Amino acid sequence: MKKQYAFYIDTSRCSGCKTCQVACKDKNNLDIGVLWRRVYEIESGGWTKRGGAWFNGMKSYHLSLSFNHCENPVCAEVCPTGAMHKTKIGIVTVDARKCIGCKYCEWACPYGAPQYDEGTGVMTKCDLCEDYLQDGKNPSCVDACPMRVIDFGELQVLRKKYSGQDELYPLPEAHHTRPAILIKPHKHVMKTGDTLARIINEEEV
Amino acid sequence: MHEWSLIVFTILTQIAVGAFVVATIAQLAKGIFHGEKVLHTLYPLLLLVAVAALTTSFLHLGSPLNAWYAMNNFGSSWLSREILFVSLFTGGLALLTVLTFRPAGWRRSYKLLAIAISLLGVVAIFSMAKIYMLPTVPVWNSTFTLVQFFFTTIILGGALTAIFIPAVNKTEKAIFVNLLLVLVLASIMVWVGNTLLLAEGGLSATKSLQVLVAENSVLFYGRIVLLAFVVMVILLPWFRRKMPETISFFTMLFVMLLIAEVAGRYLFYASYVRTGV
Repeated sequence: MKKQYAFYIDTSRCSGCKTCQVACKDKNNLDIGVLWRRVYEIESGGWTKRGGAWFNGMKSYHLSLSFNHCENPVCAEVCPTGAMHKTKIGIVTVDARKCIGCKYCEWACPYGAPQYDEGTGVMTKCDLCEDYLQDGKNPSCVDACPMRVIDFGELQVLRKKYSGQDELYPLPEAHHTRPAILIKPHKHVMKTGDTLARIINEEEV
Repeated sequence: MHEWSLIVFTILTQIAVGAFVVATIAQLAKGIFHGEKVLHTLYPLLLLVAVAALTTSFLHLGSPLNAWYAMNNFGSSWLSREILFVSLFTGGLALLTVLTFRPAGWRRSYKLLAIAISLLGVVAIFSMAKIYMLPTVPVWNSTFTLVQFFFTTIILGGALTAIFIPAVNKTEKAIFVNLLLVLVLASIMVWVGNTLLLAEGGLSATKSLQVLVAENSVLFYGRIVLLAFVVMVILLPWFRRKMPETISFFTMLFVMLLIAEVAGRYLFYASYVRTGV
């Protein structure tokens, strides 16, 4: 069977500190506006008044998300040049020498993963810190997390080690791309398509 | 979204294909262009439009120097297919334009070549629509995208061709006006119908609806009013007495329809909301 790397995210422990995001930007020297790893702040509900008292009905959690190296990468399917492709070891990556910067992969991807670099005129995305992998190290986001929220490895191994899901708000239905991701749900977690939930840091992601 | 280059590219390509197909049908069925005389103006004009469209498409690219690779993924990417078929259509149109200016000998091959180029054009518009029919973009992922692209193609193409119909062909002019009327009415109904359907869709579709009727209400309703005005101009006897089917009448129709279609295409891109994040 082909190798398929994946991230495990424990949303029940994520504090939303965004250290993973910063570590990723630092390691990959990302330009302003390019965020390979993004932390979504999700909330729902509010305070209700019963009698003389206010009751807390807030639900909130954080989700750290990068690229899912999907089993069915729609970005690579629609890419006209073949610049966006999946490698033998299961990494979906961009060949900058071929990319024409048409942004079609960005339109198609429901995870906001391929990101356009205005400076270079090509698409960019998380490559799992491929150079670190070759040195036997973890991707930079994994080791940077102070809460030990992110784990990384082969999907089959992670599935044996943890239980989790690949669908929750604000992610799309998993059938679109079959993402290689395993998420342990926070107790407040809401379902994909929830109409009352909202992302409260839209301007950051 | 700043997709002006795509608005210009798609509309111009659709005008070129539509006008070429309509002119081919009119010429083959009725021979209304009296040989090559009118075609000597129409073909170079359409070629100019098609080349302008292709040139504009490059402005959308971040790395146009890599455009050479754009047809690599013909096997799975509709964008590759679109680029190929739009290029083939433009190349065919260029060839036919040159042949039209040759003193003799072009007429024999004209029919076959014109039909082949028309088919390439139709496949190009089909591929263009398929690009947007992404399962992850609910507002685009419907037959409506296909229908709307072909409406633009046939309405603008037909309106442009009508300008070039010689004055003596009164019957044909009347046919063009009536066909335009039916097509415009149908396109208004499809446009409104599809927008209403968005309300039945999921989270992303309702967001798209919000963009269309709330955030861009002036453009959305303005487009409908403009199209309704076109219908009125064609239908009301008062207008028709003032405006017989002259070149200026058809030019006016074309300009009004062009404005309506550009507004429609702007809204099409603006309504993009994908599922997920």
